[in-house]
Amino acid sequence: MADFPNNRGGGLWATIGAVISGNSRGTLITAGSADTDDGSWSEIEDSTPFDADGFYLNCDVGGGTLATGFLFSLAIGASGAEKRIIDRLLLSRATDTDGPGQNCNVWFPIPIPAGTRISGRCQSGTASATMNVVLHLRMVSHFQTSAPLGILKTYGVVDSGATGGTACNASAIHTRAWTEIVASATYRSKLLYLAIGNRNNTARPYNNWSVSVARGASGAENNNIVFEHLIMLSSTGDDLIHASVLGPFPCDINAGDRVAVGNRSQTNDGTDRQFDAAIYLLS
Amino acid sequence: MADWPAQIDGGRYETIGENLGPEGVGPTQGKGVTAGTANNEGNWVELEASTAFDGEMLFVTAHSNQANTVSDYHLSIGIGASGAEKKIIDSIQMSRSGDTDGGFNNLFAWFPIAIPAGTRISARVRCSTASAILNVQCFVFAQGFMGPPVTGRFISYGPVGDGSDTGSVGINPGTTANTLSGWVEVAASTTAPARYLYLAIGAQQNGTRTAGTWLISIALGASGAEPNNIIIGPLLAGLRAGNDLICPSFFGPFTVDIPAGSRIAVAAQTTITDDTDNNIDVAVYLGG
Repeated sequence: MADFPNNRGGGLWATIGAVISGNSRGTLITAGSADTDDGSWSEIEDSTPFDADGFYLNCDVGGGTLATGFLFSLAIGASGAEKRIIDRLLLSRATDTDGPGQNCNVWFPIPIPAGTRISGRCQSGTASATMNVVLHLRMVSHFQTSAPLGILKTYGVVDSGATGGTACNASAIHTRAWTEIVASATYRSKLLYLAIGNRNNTARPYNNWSVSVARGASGAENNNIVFEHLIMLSSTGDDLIHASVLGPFPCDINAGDRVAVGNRSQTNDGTDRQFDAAIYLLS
Repeated sequence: MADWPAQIDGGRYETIGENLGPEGVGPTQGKGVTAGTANNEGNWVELEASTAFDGEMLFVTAHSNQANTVSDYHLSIGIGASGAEKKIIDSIQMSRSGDTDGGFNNLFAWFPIAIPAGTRISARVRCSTASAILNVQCFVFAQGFMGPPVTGRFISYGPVGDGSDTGSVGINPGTTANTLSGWVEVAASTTAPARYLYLAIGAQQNGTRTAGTWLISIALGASGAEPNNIIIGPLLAGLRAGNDLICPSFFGPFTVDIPAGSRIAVAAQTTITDDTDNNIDVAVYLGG
């Protein structure tokens, strides 16, 4: 088929949630009690302007003086009837001076109809911690759009007594070890996101990791790689792993699949080589 | 059309550029790509001699090595035989702060670009610091049907070429907080039609910044007509004094429909009133 202009996948974007008058940030989202409660839902947009086939989630989680984690959720629906379309997305903030954060801009091909109310809320390891959020909505294109995806399933987050993900460790220097994130995925999934948490580590060394994701039973991960050897690093200066929410990665994960994350680290320190991981599968 | 299993994008992938020694020995990092003299590109460094299959997506990651010099970087990805490399991604703007060991916003970016089987892939780097090293590693993905349309190359608009600087087009939002700057032209006339757009932010080698946030918008159209032709934005970026890094510093891909010959301009507003710390560099990348 010829490449008609309409095929070009959506030339129209709209940003929602930006605060441009008297500030230069996104909609403020405030956490509830430490490590236990989401804060209240904060409205990001009362009515979206058009049918969107997806959006970028653009977050700023920096600020404050305590190393902490965030679990951010995004919902559609009227006030009091919010339904989560992103559930507990893991983001981290370091402690250095004024809290550098794992800010992000991540694409989610989740349709949102015109006229939808959108809101956000978060839990944090620090009571009443704040982050701010904007969304960039893409208008539904005509031909050649990908099949719509609607269910984003969350695996591996810790939201009771802590705010983080599943601790991933290695057994020795430069040696990969696997940690189960989910024993049995609920749905067949086409896209995968990997969120890396900083584990509130306030004294990280300069370090490199090779991060991998695999399906399959324990012990069989090396034969069922989804992707492997994604390199990321941390800096001593800000004590932060410089990765955030990574993806979407194409995948074909079946319902019932076990999913694990592999950690190979340059440092052999048993604390500093650890990171938190959470997996989000889009079906 | 029915959602055939073959459409479940992602049957194949390949990691290229990783620099992994034996387990227990190391190293564990990406391929080191060394810049040339200050503000000049270094040599091409091969990431992969021959890709294994036809790919439609390239996932590019880059990381600064351990050093504390405040620096700007331009990373390019090329294909072709040694000595005949052709850039398919030109001069991605990145920055490193001076914080203790050089805080760096690692690059993790998707590029919907066609890579035929058997392609040699390489990278080269320009840096404001002579012989600085970026560690580069990529994934090549092959998809089924219904993936996004792919393109052949990404053209940069804004990065300064070899010689004097490793920055891009500067924007000064002024000393009045939260007030949109003037629109700054990044491209007077684009050279090819585009369906994908990226924005990179450079830090102008400022390693002692004031904390704040920016909102950045991109527009088409003639000078003076930009407010009626905003195509993306405002995009949100933040900075904390703890690491002096603007984050995120790379946005995209955004699907667009930009004809050849278009003018592109960028404007920004910020909470920062310091007339140095409010400045940023911007570069735009278009793929057709």
